[in-house]
Amino acid sequence: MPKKETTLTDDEIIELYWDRNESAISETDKKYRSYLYTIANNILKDRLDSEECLNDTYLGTWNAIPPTRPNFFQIFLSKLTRNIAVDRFRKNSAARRIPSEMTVAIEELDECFVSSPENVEEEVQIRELVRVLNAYLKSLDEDRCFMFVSRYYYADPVQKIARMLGIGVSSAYRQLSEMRADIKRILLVEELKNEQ
Amino acid sequence: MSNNDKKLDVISGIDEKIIDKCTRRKIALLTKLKIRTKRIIALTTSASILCASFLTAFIVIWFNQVPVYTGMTLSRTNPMKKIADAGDEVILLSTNGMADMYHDVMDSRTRILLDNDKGNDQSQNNGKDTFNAQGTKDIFYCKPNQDFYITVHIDNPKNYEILSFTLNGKKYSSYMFEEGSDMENLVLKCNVGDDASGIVEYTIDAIKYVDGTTIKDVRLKGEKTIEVGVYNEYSQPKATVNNIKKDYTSIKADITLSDEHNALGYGKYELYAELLTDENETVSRREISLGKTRGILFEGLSDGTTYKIQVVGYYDNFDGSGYSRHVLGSKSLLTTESALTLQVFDTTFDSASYSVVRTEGFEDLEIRKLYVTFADEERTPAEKVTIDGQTISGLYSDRKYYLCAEYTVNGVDVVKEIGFKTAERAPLVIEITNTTFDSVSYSVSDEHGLEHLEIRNVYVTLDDHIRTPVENTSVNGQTISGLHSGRRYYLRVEYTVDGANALKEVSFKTAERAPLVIDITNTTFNSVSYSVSDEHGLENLEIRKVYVTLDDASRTPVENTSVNGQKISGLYSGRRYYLRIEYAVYGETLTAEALFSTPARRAGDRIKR
Repeated sequence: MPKKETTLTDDEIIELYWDRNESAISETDKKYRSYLYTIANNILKDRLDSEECLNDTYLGTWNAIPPTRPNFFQIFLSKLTRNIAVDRFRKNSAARRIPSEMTVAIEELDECFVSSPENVEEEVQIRELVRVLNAYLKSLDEDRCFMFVSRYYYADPVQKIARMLGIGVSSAYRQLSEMRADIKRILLVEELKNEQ
Repeated sequence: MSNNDKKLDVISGIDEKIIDKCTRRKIALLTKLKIRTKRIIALTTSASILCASFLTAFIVIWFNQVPVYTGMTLSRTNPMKKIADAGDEVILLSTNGMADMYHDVMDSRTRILLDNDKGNDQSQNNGKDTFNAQGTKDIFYCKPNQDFYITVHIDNPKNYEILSFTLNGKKYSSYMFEEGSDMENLVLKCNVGDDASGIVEYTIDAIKYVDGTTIKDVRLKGEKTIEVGVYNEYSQPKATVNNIKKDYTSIKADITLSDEHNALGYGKYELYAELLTDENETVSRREISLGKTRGILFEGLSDGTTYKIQVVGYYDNFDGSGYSRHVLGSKSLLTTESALTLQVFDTTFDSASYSVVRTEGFEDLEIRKLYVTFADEERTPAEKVTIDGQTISGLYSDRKYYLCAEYTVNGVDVVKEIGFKTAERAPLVIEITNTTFDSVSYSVSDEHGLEHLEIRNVYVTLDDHIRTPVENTSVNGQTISGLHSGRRYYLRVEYTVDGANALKEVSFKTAERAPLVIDITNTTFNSVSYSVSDEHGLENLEIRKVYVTLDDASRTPVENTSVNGQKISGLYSGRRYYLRIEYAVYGETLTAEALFSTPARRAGDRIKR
């Protein structure tokens, strides 16, 4: 019977980064490759792009640690991969490449992120939307908040979100739709307030 | 900026805390999902396997039940002839087809003995199915030319006739099976042979049975090979020690170790050259290997001291003791050169003389410390001993000591010691100076003077094997009274000398006490008068009973007599009687008697009422 390979703990891997031991990258890849690949592929829907995204993630981690010492290594990697994938997604969108789950998810948000008047600066607009969105997400229960972030931050397919939460797919769709409607309602009220 | 970019910026602006919390939840849910999926797969697989097994079993049972070989058992006697009890010497080992329980590491084997000589190991495995010892490879031990029995087990529900089997390439037919064999247990008597040594394997193959008119092969399912470990004393590794060089504090030697019969080839082994004192205490050890090892050096030794080099191997030589130590060769009486010699002589019971002789060239050798210890394991210092000039005093008699000297030779700190023993001290002398009928007087003396010892207790015991102390005695100086006359006693003296308790006793006998004197002062035809006296005085005795008996062997008491002072009446005339007196002296009951006769009655004699 072949000997089972043992994976290092997150703390041990972080120590390798701090020791500038190059096996830190291979250990990270060994432990988190498939998880991080899924995040990247949800956004990019391209194997090569996703692979490149992983390499950029490992490079980013190597450059960040030290001086950083993440408390939760997997969360650190998740966000880094997502951000790198999103940056690439922006470039790919500009080049009109094949749409991914992220494309679909972003398009869903058209329902709620209404465009502001032209005289309002984009930066201000974005800041305002972020403020409203954060306030809304903080008001949600754990499941719904997770559902929103999973869908629009990580671009997870709705079927996967439903399976993770142990609910039906149609229920997941419905709840996401309700949340988008809530955000739209809140934004309209805020707009009315501003006009006044 | 495009609309999509704006939306991405908004989403990317979600609070980090919310992202962290949701990401953590995602990781946890993904893990749970993975476990749930694995469980579903495992359940589905198990259910499928179960169904397949049931189906297969049904087919097998329904269609045919061919005989199946399940394993072999080794034993010292024929198990089918006599069933082994738990306390019996027969030990069974089964190789019941559980091949995955075997490891191939020699030194992890369960030790099971075939030979009666290793009784203590037998007690671990007697009558037990050793396959309860999971994960170990079992091996049997036996000697050259020793018989044992192999029982071949076959699951044979339809009781097909087994024709033969092949063991180590040789075919054994059914008529060669031992008494008691049946169609499920075939017993064969085997012998490893005179020249066997090491591991001897027995492998079974090709078991034939008859099905109607056809000869078929039994299906082989169990483990097909068993091993027997044979200890052959002539096949062990040998070591020689030569080219020895010694100086004051070191010994160097070459060691050659050969293993012609490959006794070390069956598993793990370790080889060492050890240096021991002549009292077999290990001083140093060096690891060596097969072949010639040159210049093995033992340093830091004491000068003028005798050592021996022993070559030892740790391995399983199949004598039943498992992986253990074996001496393969030795060289004794290796004495390092001496820089300093201690001598002790003229020992008495409490002192000894000694000298220190320095070898030429070491005249300035300084002794840092000179002292005496007891000859116990810890070498406890003998604190009350004094060393003065060339005399050691304050010793105890009949004891073993060591005179120890500490010094440095060639930079090596040495403790040299020489053992000696003090002479025995003459025992205490007890002299019985006088014995009377109730006392003993004694004196004690010691050859070396009584001032060296302390008398703790003096007492008298009975002459029995447990020396029961006599109670109620009285002591006056060196005289003990209150004893019984004519008895054998022991006088015991308990004392302490040389820090140890001692006991001396002598036997003596008290003098016979003169018996009570009964004087018949007067007799009439029907009475007797008497007086009593005692040589030692009547005050020490108690008269308990005075009576008259007939002159017969049993001294029958005469009844209906009357006593008045020292006169007893109511006797018959012309008869012989005994006057008896029972009395006690210091609790000892004694009897005295006197014979008398009543005169014949004369006419006119009246009986006074």
